[in-house]
Amino acid sequence: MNVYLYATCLSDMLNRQIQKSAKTLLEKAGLKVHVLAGATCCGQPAYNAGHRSAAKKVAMQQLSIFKEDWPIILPSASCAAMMKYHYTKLFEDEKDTFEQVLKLKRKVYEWSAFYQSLSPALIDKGAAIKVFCHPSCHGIREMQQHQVAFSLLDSLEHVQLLHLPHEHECCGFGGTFSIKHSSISTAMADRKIDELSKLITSHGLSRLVGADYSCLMHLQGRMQRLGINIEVQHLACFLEQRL
Amino acid sequence: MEKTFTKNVKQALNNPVLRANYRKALDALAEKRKTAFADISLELPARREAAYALRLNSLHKLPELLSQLEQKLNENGIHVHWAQTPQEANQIAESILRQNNAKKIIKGKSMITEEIRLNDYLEEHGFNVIESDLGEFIVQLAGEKPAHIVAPIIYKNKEQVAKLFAEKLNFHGSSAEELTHAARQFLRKEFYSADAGLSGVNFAVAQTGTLCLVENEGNGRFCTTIPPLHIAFMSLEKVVEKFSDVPLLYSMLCRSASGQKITVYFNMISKPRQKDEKDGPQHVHLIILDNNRSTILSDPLLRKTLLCIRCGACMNNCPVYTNIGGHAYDAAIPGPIGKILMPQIAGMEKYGHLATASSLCAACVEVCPVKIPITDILLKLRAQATSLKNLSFKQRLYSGKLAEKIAFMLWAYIFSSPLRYKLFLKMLHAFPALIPLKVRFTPMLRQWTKTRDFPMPR
Repeated sequence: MNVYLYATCLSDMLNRQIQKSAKTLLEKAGLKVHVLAGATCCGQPAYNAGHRSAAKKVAMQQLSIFKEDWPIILPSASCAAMMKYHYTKLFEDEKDTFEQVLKLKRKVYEWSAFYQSLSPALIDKGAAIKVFCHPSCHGIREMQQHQVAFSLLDSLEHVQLLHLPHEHECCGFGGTFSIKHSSISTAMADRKIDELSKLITSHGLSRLVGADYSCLMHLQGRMQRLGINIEVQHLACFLEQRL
Repeated sequence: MEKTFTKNVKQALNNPVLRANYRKALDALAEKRKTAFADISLELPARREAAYALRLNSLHKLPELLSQLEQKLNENGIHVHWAQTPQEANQIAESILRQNNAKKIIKGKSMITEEIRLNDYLEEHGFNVIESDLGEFIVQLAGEKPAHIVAPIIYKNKEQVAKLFAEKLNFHGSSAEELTHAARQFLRKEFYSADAGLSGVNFAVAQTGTLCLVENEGNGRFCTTIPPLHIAFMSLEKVVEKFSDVPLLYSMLCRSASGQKITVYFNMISKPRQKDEKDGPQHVHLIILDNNRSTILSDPLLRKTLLCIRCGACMNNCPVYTNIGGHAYDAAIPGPIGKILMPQIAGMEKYGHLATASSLCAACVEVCPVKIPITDILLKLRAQATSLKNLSFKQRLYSGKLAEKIAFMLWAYIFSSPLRYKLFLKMLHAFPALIPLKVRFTPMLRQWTKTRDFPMPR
């Protein structure tokens, strides 16, 4: 089976390991993975900030790159949600483009959900570890499949998945929100980090993973500033290391 | 206004007691809501859908429902007044009070009277206004404003209330029971001596001309039955078509707001006192406020702002509201619903910044009993706010709007071309050491690095 992997701009810019791991794991599960050439960004930063024409300009570029009718897999729930649920809103008045948008919408999948659907062999070769998996807002409330990451991790023999009291609460990133309302955004991150810190000291939590790098980047940036040292990894990277 | 917001946010974030009060109270409310829906959790999606459809249907038929309501109320002997603006609503109330020679006024809980700042207006014009909802009573005693649409004193803990009662009422007690009893005793005599009672309306039934009032303390029933004059206030979207529409909305409201299956009191007001009746007000008036809602109605997406039944679940589950509290918004309606409603009723100039103060986490959308697409509406308001039309050059520079627009244009220029994008990535990865330096000189990114480390490209 052929699939497209849409790298996402955040992975391109800041953490190329995510797309490498996402690709490797899909290949191990028997797929032929084509990393999409010409993919840049889904357009979400501009769309969420209200700059629709800039968002459209970039989104148009994404619409033009899918030559074959293969599934498109994104290692990020928020980018997947943008293409699956928000392109129809962004292009709602564009007669000529709308059909293309619908076609794309049907083909978009979030990485962890697609990966799990392949029933991969989850034979854990790693050492015993306690992890927390941050379920992103887009994973919970838009793609509605954050449980997938939990169940993937639960199937690993040496991994103990820990939970937080306010697990479903936003980490405070929110794109330009983190810049425009930096203090609120930071306060939200701190709430999450307070709960994480308690798990670190009381339960020996030693890794933060998640299926959305943007949230992880935000939490990691804040934790580094606060001097809290805990390794942060995209779910795909974490899984690849252990399988 | 944005400056005030920034200042309020800073103050709130630096107040650990306030934040702990909010966290504790909101966690409890969110939990209560969850428990309240446990018995119908399988039906919940269908009920939300039904409630949404019912409210939307009312909005579609609003003009005819409102005229039907007016006709029915008139037949029943309730006077109906129409107010385009808050100022008009206040003036109408004033003139009714003067005609009835009413000076002392007892009030039930009503968010619309907060929207029009009725208390301030009436007090400026020589009336004596007493809030009778326990929370609102405490807010008034403290000389503050409600911070939540259902739980006005959510920002205070019991100890703070006890201190306030000691100062203002010379009452010394500490338990919730003692404090409530003191307020009850104080208010009881006020109900009997008031010249007029004011209230809000939760649902106005067009078919029967019935004003429904949902409450827990019985003060609403006192306000609307003991004084000789009752004035009710509602904004025009409160109308529903049929009486049979009410049970579903009522149930969704109670479960979402306070986690109750049903409130302690549910009042149905349909007539003033009749000849053979021994109680009830002789005169009943209803003031219906527009305040720009008729304009909001014309847009198919923005219209959905008016589906709201004011349960407050969106704020109880909002991580921004939990952190900064209700007062920071400086708005009659705070929280997620306030972020979309206030800019539309009171103007983008005054409240446009609220639409940006959301991470779009959609926790509010998840719990809204009438499925208001709050995040979609936020996005639309943000899109409207990016327009530079009607701004002077100075405003464009000063507000940072021009800079933001240019930044996104530049972003689109790079990210819309794979070639330029590749070049951009090459540069980024070739000179990562330069990034911290660059960040220092980029005003937007500096907001990131103030509290967070910058992620180094790997």
